[in-house]
Amino acid sequence: MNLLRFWKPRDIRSLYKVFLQDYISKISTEKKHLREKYWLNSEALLSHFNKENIPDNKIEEWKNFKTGFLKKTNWKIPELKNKKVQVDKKIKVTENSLFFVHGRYNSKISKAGNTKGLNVFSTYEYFKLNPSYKEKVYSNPEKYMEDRLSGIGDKKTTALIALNSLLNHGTVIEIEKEAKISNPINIINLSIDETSQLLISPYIIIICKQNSEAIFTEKTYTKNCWINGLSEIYLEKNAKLTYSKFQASIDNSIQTSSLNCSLKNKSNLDLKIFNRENCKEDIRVFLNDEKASAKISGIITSKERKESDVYCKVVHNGKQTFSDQSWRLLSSDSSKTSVNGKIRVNRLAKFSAASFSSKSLILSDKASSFSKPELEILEDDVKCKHGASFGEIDKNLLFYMQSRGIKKQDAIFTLVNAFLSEIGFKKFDIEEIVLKSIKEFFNIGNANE
Amino acid sequence: MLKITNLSVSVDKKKIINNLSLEVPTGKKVAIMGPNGSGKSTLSNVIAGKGGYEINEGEILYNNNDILKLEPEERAASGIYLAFQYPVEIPGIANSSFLRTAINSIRKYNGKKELDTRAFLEECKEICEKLNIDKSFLSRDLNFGFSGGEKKKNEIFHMLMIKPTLCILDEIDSGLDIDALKVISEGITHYSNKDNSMLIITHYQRLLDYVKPDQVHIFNEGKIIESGNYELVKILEAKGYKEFV
Ligand SMILES: Nc1ncnc2c1ncn2[C@@H]1O[C@H](COP(=O)(O)OP(=O)(O)OP(=O)(O)O)[C@@H](O)[C@H]1O
Ligand SMILES: [Mg+2]
Repeated sequence: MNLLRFWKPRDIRSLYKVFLQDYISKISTEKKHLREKYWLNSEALLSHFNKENIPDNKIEEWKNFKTGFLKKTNWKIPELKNKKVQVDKKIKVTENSLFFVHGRYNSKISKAGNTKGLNVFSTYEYFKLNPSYKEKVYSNPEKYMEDRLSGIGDKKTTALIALNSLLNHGTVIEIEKEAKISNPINIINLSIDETSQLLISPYIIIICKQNSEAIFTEKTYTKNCWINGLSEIYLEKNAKLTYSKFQASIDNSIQTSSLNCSLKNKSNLDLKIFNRENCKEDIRVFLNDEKASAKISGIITSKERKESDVYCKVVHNGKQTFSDQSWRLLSSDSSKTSVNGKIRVNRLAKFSAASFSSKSLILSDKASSFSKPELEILEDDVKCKHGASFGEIDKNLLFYMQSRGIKKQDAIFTLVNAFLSEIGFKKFDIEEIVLKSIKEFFNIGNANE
Repeated sequence: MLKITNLSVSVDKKKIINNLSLEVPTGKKVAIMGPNGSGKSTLSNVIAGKGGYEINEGEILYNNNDILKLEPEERAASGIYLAFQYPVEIPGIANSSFLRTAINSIRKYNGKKELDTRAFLEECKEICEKLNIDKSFLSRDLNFGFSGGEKKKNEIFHMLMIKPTLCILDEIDSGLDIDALKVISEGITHYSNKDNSMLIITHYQRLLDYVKPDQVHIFNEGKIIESGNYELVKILEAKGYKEFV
């Protein structure tokens, strides 16, 4: 374990606890702060964010997620301290636990010292040691902009990536070459704020070197915050990664996040997502080289009058690349769940296969769910399929269960559980995170009609 | 035990049960026979509490209590059991854990402690053996991929485990092979005693040959058009419904 001293960016340190708007205008006028951002093009980021600002539903990718509240609120940038903080007893802390407090890696409470092959760096340190990576891992929003079929690159979708990178320089988690880490590595995001409305900008870069294997579970606990996250995942040749990203608690918070994954030859990504109400996840997976493969499965839930939205784009660039997306959506009350699954198979990605499927379960008359698979196939020799289904709780099943003595609420819960279990998450994750949140549904929701 | 008086039920303005009066006395087995579409399953569903029906008039008393306002689970807790004509498949839920949940839920309603898991499983195995059901059916998903006959057997298995006081058996014999019919009938007969009652809906004499009902009613267009004892079954078998309607 190589745990280098955490680097605190000076520009923000001198400004912490300020309002976002003040910060943006300050760095816009005082170029000095920009110069201190030595490794990414801050000026470009800033002008990009100033130009595009927070996206709204005029942008295709943001149609199903309202952002008015984000614009209206005067967010504060959090204080930056790598100090010991109290961790809620309810949160399980295991051997491989990496804590991010208000979006920053906290070495004081993290426990990862004994795991061979796992290293945590500040980006500054990492790029000093691995200059070649600086070019690859580079928080440049243009890299992630949306390629429209018309051939136009749309930068509007990446304004929040720019904002994230302006506020956080990122942490690199590296899995060494040939390392096989079988115990799950837990990333725990703690952003609990009791008083002010904070804008949290976690930025995590995960680099899995050649022939490495690792399992990550990322859980976010938040209160009263806007979390605008960015994760970049790089799988080198033959690397294998299972990554679960679960929204554990969302107490009065909003999350918008980007997850960008680049895969090299024969590397394999197994991505599991639990996206709750008030969360918007923007996933982009690039299968860049031959035989790279990605399996993406996710549960998207929402309640009350809230929205839960996932955009997931898989781009096949290499030959014989494979991708599979599978989603389960659950809406109660007057809420909305949505998934937009885009598959783009670029020219020369011959013999590739891609699939998308989603099933939506709607628990009340006022709830809604949207599923939009989109295929852009620019190569002939490929196999693609997609399907989406929508349904309510089957009244006959419900009656059968009730007539055997099971209470209606319990019967609904059991059926929902069975529906979500189809996705094949680990039983523990389903029970600890997903079902816990769904139990809340049934206390608050109007599932009893 | 069960007393239905002047019951009329409709679905989408269509009358299905038509001013029906029917009694199932404690300790008795009452059979209902009737042509397809005459409303037998509708009656079973209404007694068990399925929604979506409009009760136009009448009452259903169970142990002298009006049950029409009760939820299906409350009726189940008070001892009413419906063996479905078409049992549903529920993937993702194991048969035995479903059954245990059901039994514990009923026990909770009645202020009783949860079942001991081991004792529960022992009893499951015992009853499966009696009904000639393979133990693997306990761990399989509820009715999922079960054959028609296997589903029916499973309904009786649930019944014997839940131990209800009013058993409504809606065409429990359809889909069963000759041997299975015998085993199931024995199970039903064995379970029947002076404290419980059976309402047995069937199209065939064979089940009734085994189970020996105390009363037989012929049902048509949502009401009883003829009543009698077991002899009535023989006449019906010989002459068909046209004699009666
Ligand atoms: N939900 C419903 N909507 C419309 N019609 C219905 C509904 N439920 C029952 N019916 C109609 O009511 C009538 C009685 O149906 P039911 O299932 O009770 O008949 P049954 O006597 O059980 O017939 P079978 O012997 O074929 O099982 C049928 O004509 C059926 O189509
Ligand atoms: Mg019927």
